[in-house]
Amino acid sequence: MSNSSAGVPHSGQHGNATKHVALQNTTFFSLVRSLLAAHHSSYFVMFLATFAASLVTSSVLQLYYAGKKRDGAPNVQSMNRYHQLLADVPYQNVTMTSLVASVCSLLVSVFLVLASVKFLVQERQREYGLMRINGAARTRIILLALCEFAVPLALSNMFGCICGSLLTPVVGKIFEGAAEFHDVGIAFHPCVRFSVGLYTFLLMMITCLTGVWLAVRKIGLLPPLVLLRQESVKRQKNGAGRKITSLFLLVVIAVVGFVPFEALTLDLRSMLLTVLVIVCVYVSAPILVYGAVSVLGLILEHFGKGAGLLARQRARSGKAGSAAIALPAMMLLTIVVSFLAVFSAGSVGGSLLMLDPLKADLVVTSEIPEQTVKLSQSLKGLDKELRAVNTYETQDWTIPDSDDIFQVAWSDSQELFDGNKSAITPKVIKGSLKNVGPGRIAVNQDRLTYDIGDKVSLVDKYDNKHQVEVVAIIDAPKGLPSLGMDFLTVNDSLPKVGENYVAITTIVADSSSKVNSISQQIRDLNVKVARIESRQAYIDRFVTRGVEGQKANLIMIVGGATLALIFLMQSIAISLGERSQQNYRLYQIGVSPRSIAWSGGLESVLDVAGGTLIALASVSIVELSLAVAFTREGLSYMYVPIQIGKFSLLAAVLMVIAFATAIFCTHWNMQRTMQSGSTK
Amino acid sequence: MNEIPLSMSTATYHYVSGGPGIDDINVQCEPGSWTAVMGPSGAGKSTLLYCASGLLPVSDGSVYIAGRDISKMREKQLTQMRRDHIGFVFQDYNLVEAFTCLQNVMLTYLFGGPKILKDQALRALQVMGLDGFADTYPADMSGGQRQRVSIARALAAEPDIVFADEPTGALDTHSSQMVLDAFDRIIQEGRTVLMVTHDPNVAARAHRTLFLVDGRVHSVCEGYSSEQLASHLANMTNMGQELGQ
Repeated sequence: MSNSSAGVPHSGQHGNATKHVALQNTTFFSLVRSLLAAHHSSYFVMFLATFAASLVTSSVLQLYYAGKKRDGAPNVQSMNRYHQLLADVPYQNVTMTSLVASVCSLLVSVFLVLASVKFLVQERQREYGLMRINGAARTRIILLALCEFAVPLALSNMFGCICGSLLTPVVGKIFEGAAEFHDVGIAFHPCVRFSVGLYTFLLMMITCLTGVWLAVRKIGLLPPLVLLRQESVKRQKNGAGRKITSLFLLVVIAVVGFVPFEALTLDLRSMLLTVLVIVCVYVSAPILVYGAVSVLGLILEHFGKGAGLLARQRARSGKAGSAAIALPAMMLLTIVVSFLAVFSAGSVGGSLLMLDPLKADLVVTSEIPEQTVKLSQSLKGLDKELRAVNTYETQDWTIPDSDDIFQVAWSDSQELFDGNKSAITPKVIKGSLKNVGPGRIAVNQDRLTYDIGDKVSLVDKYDNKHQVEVVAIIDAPKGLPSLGMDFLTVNDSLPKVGENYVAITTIVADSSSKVNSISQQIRDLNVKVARIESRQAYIDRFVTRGVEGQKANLIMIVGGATLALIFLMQSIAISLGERSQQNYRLYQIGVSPRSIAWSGGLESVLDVAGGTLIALASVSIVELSLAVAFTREGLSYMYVPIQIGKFSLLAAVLMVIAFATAIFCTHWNMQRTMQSGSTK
Repeated sequence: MNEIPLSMSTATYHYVSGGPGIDDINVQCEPGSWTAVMGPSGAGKSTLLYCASGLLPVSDGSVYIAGRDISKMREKQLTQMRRDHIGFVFQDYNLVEAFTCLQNVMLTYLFGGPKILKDQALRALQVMGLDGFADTYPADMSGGQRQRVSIARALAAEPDIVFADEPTGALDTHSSQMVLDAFDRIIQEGRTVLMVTHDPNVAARAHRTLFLVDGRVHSVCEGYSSEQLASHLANMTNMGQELGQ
């Protein structure tokens, strides 16, 4: 068809197909350049957010590899086997802790980057609608969006990974104490690995671009007219798919959290439940946030007058904006606090399971062999008040071809062979304890898989080997986590030339009313012992020690909170930015800028409060599940660690930051709009 | 071009909310014809345009563009139809703000449509009096200039049919004239224009005018002057009000 009458040259059959394709590709990327130029100001906060996410993730991943590769490990050649293994423990700790921190960091990053990108893409829906109307296929638009977003995301992730990697030594210092490097006299010097930085970069890019794809794909599914009218994605009713998925996840949570499954240990159940709760919260966020802000907003409406009313109505009507602001709060509080609860409970629960049932009324610990002998002799004088006394002297030994440290326990043969039911003795599974003697040993079946007749080499602190034969298989006495009893022998059967001597004397009183008296009498014996503990004090010490071991969780809290705050501020800035036109109109009809700013602040606080309420419900489900699990295991639910303090502190910080950011953004937008005298 | 550019047969559309759509529309637009659509507010003019262009799926009846039934097409095929055979000119200019004028003119080609040479696109801009605006962004242009970019795209892309929804609604007299002159050029090239308008002066430039009332074609006027069209519109508006009562 000729265009000659319009003065436009006819397209004809000029050029070959290759040239045509080449011109098209070049021009396609010119569209990408144009989009980058047009939207560059909107990338800033996304850039900052993904930079922070990459920084945190890369630094903890660097630490993980540093731990795995044993960076800075001392020359252990001059050490005995025991100290060589002991020197490895902090590296195992840092590996485990940084792995957990990496998982948490990635989880938080994934959800929040998805929300961030989704919000930016939704802002473009009219633009995408115009492209669709002019014949752009969905795949083309997705490709265009991926090419466009890839540039700022690549830059932010690259800088984040570089900075995070360079910060590795600093973060390593923070982990050093928590991983107990100081306890073994080692300084942790993590190396920076280029390959880890590269892996992190690729991982973050995949995450971010997946978020772009999901967001644009959703836009692409909508009719072009809907996009053009901006009827919105923002104001669309929650689809049936989301509701069904949310309900399904709730059912799965109920089953995993509260139905007893033999195969699910406490730790596994708690972790699985936490992940399910997090996913459920993310999927159902738009539904839940609307409900939460509607309810909480009634308070604002009642006390906040016009500003409160406006805040509530805006929060209810702007579902996508409210969900975007509430999401960082929800994710941070749910992920971080739930994981903290799970780890603490796992540690406490594990300790309690080891401690229960503890038959001993008193546990006396001594670290000096001579004092142990003195104590034993002195206790004979209290014979009438004591039903049973067992003393186990323990040391740490190693065995060849194993990286573990094993406890060898010695016992008085008389106490062991008597089999007094009230005494604290191991349970014999196979063989007989009467066969234990010089060159013959009993083995705990929990950690070792030897059988009767097997030969074992035990290595002492001088790295000398002692060959012994297994004559009995046992279970260590219950309720005493300090008495692992991997190997059991009798006095004088094996020289006591291991490391870390500890003697544990368990006392069962003739009557419970005499326990305090016995305890006082032992103190009066003037025997130097490490500690004398009642049953409850012994249990509490182990529970406390387990909880204190979670020091590295603080790193998780700080890292997660930082990420969430950045995303929160971003969401508020974007959400309020699109209000500038509405706010200007309000100003024109006589509403003061102060009231408008106040309303913006209240709305953001309301959104964060809604997210907090949802997170509270989610964390409560996790805590309730832990309580049920504890009860089922015969443990008191009172031991379930309640993270009220950390939860409240984080929530308060989020609300304050949200309020301040909203006030600032609203005020700044208003000033800018008033100066320009028009709205855009 | 042998096929009829646009043919609607008993086309019907009802909004989910129950609002008026279109009902039993039978319209055929020949190649090189210019058809205006008028009617009182809420008569279904824009709905007819959207259904005719495939932006809204008809709930009953059929719509043919370039001899192909678009009422049964999937989104992918519709996208290709829009790219290869349809041009749009909307009241709010229909330009992608992030792209330059040249990119906006070449948009369909950039997304895989029929080839548009750069010279061709520049020439189209020149014809619309937009020399030197190739690298300018829509935000830096007046409303009239932006509308002319939309028309330039319709010229350069050579669609079989151009759908225009109030193309002069936001323009001054001079710019409106330029737009209507451009439509004349399009018609002279043998292409078709279906235009919705409130303005009798604009409608008078068309070959014929369809009057819609309550989603149905009430009358078809050919060769009416602007005064006659204005009078007819007033009658339609009164009729619509009476029917509403």
